[in-house]
Amino acid sequence: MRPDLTGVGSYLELKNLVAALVLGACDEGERALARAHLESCRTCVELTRRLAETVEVVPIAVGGVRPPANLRGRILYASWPQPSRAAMIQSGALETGSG
Amino acid sequence: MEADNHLALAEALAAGDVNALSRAYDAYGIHAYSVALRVLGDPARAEDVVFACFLELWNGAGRYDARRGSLRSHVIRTARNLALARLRGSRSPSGTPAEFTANGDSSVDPWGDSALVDVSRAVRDGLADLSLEQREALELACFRGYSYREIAEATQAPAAGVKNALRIALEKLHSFLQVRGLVHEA
Repeated sequence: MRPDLTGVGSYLELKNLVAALVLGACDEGERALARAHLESCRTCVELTRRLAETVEVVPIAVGGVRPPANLRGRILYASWPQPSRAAMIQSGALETGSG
Repeated sequence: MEADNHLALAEALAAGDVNALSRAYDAYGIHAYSVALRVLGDPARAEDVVFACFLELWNGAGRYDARRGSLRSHVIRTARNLALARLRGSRSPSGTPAEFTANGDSSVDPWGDSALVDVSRAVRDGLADLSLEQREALELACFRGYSYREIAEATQAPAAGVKNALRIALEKLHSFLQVRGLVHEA
């Protein structure tokens, strides 16, 4: 008996669209189509999880480049409320850390 | 950083503990900067992205949902999306939509105590294992923020083929990393 291949082409297309979706690489209409498909396809929901985790790991390929030493202090300084900044400077909290 | 630590760190951030922000920067600042620099190619602009990334983490710490993935993934994704938005001169969100995050069990960190340099090498090896077409498409999507149609135009390949190459690239890379225990089990 020949396998029923009805819809296989379109299903593959939807899986490909899911990949584009998790990469943010498709347009709004296609996003809506993929989201609608994900509401009813557990297989593609699982595919989405796997691909999304992979997308998040890809940037790690670039390795580790240390940011400028003063960036840590800039961030911590900006995070503190205005009245507390003088105390923060005195406490030495802005000194460069290990990162 | 171990999973327990990353969950405790997320809770401390949400509670407004500035020491937690300091620890988060020490743990993930290098990741965020590396990604932003790769996307933008400009140290000054990459620095601005990391600054915005960690202030966003600080100001929106209560919105971070540990069930959607690790804090490390959250920081890397935020840095990449902010860098892509700047690259493309857009205020609209770029990159991976937040709703499509890994959503794995964030109480289990597949990286464990693996050093960044080891994970980085494994990902590079995984990318090297892809065909040229797959790797090029994936890198244009991840680091240039190209849509599959833009990739098709840039590489003069059929759009349907690019979409297929992107999916196969991600599935192959996931399998490669899964064998090495660097992503969650399928």
